[in-house]
Amino acid sequence: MNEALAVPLPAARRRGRARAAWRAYAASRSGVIGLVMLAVIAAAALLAPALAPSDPFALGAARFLRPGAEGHPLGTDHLGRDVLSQILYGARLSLTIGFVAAGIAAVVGIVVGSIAGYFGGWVDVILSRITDMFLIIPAFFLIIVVVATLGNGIIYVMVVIGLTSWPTNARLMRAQVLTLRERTFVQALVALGESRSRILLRHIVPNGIQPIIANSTLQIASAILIEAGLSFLGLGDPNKASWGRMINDERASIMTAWWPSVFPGIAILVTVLAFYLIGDGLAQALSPRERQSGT
Amino acid sequence: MTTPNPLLHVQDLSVVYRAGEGAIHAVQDVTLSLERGRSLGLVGESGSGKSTVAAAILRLLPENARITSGSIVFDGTDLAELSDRNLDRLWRWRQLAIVFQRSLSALSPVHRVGHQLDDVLKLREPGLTEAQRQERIVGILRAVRLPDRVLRAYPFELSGGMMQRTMIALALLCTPPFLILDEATTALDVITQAEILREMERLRAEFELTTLVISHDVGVINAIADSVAVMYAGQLMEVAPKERFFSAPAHPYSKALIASVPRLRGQSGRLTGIPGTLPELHNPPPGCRFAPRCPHAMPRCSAAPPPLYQIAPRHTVRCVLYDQHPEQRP
Amino acid sequence: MSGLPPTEPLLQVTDLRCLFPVRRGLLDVLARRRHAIHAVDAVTFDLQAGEVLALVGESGCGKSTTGRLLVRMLKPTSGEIRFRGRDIANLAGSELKAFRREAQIIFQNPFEVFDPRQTIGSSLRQALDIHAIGTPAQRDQRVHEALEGAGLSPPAAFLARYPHELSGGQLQRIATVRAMLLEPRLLVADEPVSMLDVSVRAEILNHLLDLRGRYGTAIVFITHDIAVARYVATRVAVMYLGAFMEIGTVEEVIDRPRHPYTRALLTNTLSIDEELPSGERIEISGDPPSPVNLGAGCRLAGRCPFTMDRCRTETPRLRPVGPDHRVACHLVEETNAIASPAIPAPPQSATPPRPSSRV
Repeated sequence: MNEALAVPLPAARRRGRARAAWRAYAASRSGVIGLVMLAVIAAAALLAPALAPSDPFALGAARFLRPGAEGHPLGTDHLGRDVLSQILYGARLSLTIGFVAAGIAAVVGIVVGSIAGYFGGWVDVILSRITDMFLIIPAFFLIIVVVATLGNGIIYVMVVIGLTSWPTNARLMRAQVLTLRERTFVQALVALGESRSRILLRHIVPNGIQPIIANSTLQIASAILIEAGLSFLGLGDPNKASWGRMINDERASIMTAWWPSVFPGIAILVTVLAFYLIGDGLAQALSPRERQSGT
Repeated sequence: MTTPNPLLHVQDLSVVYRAGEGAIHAVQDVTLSLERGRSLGLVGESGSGKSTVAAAILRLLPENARITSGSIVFDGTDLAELSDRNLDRLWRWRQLAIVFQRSLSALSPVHRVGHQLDDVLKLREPGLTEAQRQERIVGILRAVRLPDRVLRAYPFELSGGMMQRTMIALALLCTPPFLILDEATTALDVITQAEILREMERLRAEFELTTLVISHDVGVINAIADSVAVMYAGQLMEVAPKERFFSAPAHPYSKALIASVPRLRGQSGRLTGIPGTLPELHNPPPGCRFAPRCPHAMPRCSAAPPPLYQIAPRHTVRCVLYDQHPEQRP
Repeated sequence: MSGLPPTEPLLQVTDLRCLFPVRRGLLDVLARRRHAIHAVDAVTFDLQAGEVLALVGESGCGKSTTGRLLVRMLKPTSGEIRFRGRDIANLAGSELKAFRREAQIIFQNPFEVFDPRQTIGSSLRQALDIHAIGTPAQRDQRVHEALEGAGLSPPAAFLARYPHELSGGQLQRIATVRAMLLEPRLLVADEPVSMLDVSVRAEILNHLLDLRGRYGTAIVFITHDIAVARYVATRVAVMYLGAFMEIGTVEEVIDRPRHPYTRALLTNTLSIDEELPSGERIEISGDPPSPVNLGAGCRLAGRCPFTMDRCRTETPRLRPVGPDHRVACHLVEETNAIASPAIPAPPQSATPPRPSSRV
C-alpha cells in the first residue's frame, strides 16, 4: 500500500521552523523595537570611523563647546575631545565587552551544566557545588580585585565578567539536560546504540539551549553596565573610549557642562534597554513551544 | 432528523479556530438531536471535532474559537443566543453538566474533595444552607457508591475509578437533566472502565438523565449509547440507532471504522484499517471530507457536501451512495 | 536464519527482577527499612526466533519495564536474560553496542521518538551510521529502499521532513523502519498503536508482521488491549503488578483462560459484539494494593472473588495446565483437571472480598 503524501504542505510550513521562529519573535513588539535599536547601535559602532567627526582622543578643539557647534554635533568635553566621536567608539567597546563576556559565560555555563546534568552522580555533585561557590562570590568585588591587581586591560575585564556570570547559565542548562535526558527521543538514541557524548553534544545541548540564549541577552546588558561601572570608578582602560569613563571624567563639571556626561549616560541607557527588549522578545518567542504534531 | 420535543437540538453548528496563518474549520454544519431520557453516542477519531461540539454546547471553547453558524436549542432556549453571564448563572451545571477525561487536572490538588464539592454547590445554588448542602453532597456520594471518607480526601489520594466517580458526583450535584461524558473513561483501566460504565447506566435510570457520550472507542459507545452519531474531520457522517449502526452501518467511514476494531471472537486474520490521512482542516476539501480516503468516492463527492438522506426511521446518512431514496431531509 | 540449533530459544528469561528503590523517610532509615517497588518480579519465559509474544496488562503491571529490560535500557536487579545463549545483564561498552544492533525497541508515542531538530532522513541515516553498516552511499540507498518498502513513497518527500510535519501513523511507521534498518533479531514494541487512531492501527500492525516475515525478527508486543494480541501474537502473557499470571498460546489464553485475572480482563473488555458484559463476568473488586513492598501471597488476594486462605500467605507460581499453558493461581492448581475449560464456582465459605466502593 503506497502512502503518497496526500496533500502538499502549505508553503509556509515548508520552511517551517525558521519562519515560524521569526514570526513568533516578531509578534513581540518589544522584541522588534529592541532589535531595531540594536541595529542602530551596531551600525554606529561599525561605522564609527566614517561617522565620527574626529578622532575621539584628538585634543585641540575648544573645551566645553556646546552641542551644535561646528564640527561637534554633541559638543566637546573638558579636554576638547569630540563627544560624538567618543560615543561612537564607545559603542564598539561596550558591544565587544558585552558579547565576549556573555559569550564566555554562555560557553562555560553550557559545558558545566550539561556535563553535570547528563552524567549525574558524583560529577553532578562536584560541579553543582562549584557552581554554587561561584554564585556566592560577589561578582563586582571580585572584578574590582582582579582589575586592581592584574591590570585594567579590557581583556581582563571581559574574562572576569564572563567567569563570574556563568553559574546562572550552568543551572539553566543543567535543568534542561535533566528533563531532556528522559525524553523519548533520547532514549530511542540510547537504544539505537548512540554514544553518550554524541547524544549530549548533538541532541541534548542543541535542544536545551534556548533559555541560555534568552539569558545571554540579559547578560550582555549586565556586562555593559559592569564595564561602565568599572570605568566610572576609574578602573577601566583609560586608553579606550568608554561611556563609563566619559561620565567619570566629566562629572565634576556636570553643573556647568552637562553634555559630556549626559550623552554617554543616555547611550548606556539605550543600549541596555535594547538588550532587555530583545530578551523580552526572545522569551516570548521561545516559551509557548510550538509543537505542531500531526493528526 | 428531529425527534418530537428533543431536550437538545443542535442545528447546523459550525465552529472555527483561528490559528496562526489561517482558520481551522473544526466543525461544519453538524445537526444532532437528543430525545429526553436517551443517550446519544458521538464517535469519531482525532480531528473529528466531537470534543469541540461538546465544548460549544457548554460554551467552554478556547479564546481563539468561534461558533460561526448554527443554533443550540436546549429545552426551548437557544443557548448560542444567551449572554455568557446568563448561560453560566442559569444553565451551566444546573441544566447541563460535563464529565471530562483528565479528572486529575479538573480538581484543585490542594483542597479536599468535600470542600470542593461544597464550593461548587455554594456557587450554583446559593439559596441552600450549609446543612442542606451537606445533605445533598452526602446523598450524591451515596448515589455514585463512594464511601464518605472521600469527602475528607485530597484528589491525589483517590484511585482513577474513584476520581471518575467523584467527577460524576460533581456533575450531578445540581441534578441536571443533561450530562455530557467527554471521553470520561478513556484514562481508566479495562476493569474499572467497565465498572464505571455500568454505574453510569444505573445512574442514568435513577436520575432520568439525557446523555451525550463522546468517545473514540466504539466499544464504549456500544456499552451505553442508545443511538450513534459518527463524525469525521468536522463533518457529521451518519446517525443511527445503536443496533442498526453495528449490524448495518450505512456510511463507508462507519463501515471501515467498525471493521478496523479488533475482536475477541471470530476471524483473526489481518486487521483492516483506512489508508490515507486526515485532510488539512486549514483548507478542507469542499465536499465530503472523507472522499479522499473513500473506496466509493465519485467526482460529485468532492464538489459539495452531500445532503443528508434518511434511509430508515431515525437513521440518516450523509453520503451520495444513498441518493436512490426519494425522501431527502436537508 | 538464526544459526542456532532449532530448539534453543532466542531469548531465555529466568527469574527476572527489577526493583526501584523508594525514598526513605527518617523513621525508615532508623528502623533500617528499605522500600522498593517490585516493578518486575521473578518473570520467567522463553522466546523462540521469529515468534511473537504479547505482553498484556494494565498500566503499572510491569510490561513496559520488562520490555526495556529485554533491550537493556534498564539493568535487572537480579535474574538472567540469555540472548542467543549469552547473559546480557552485565554487558558494557562495545559488547553492549553490538547487542543493541540485534535487539531494538519502538515506543508508544510516535511524536516523541525523533529529535525535533533533525530531519527524518538524518534520523534514519543515523541508525546505520552508529553501527557503520555499509559505505555511506550504501546507507543512503538502504534508507531509501526501506522507506519505499514501508509504503512511504516517494521516499525523497519524507527524507526532508521534520517530525512535526508528519502524522502519528507516518511517524510510527518511520520509527519501525528505523529500528528494522539494523535487522535486529528481537524487536520490543511497547504499545506501538495505543496513541494512534483505530483506523490507522492496522497499517502499523500489518507492517510489523510483514517485517517479521521478511527478517525473521522475534517480537515482544506490549499492549493493554488484549484483543489486539489475537491479531499479532502467537503467544500471550498476562501480567499483573510485576508478575506473570498466565502465559500460553493465543488460543489457550484468550479462548480458554484459566486465571481469574485474565478472565476478568476478557469479560470486562468492551466489545461491539455485545453490550455491557454481564452474567458470567468476573469481578476484581476494590483497589490494587500498593506496589511498594509486596509481601508474600497472591497479588490479587482479597480482590479476587475466589480468594482462599492459602492465597494470602503463599505466592502462587506459574504451573502448567496444558501443553503450552501455564497459570499462577492456587485455585487453578488445586482444581485443575487437564483440558477442562469449566469455570469453577466461587467457594461459598471463602473469605469475602475486602469491602469496596463497588456494589
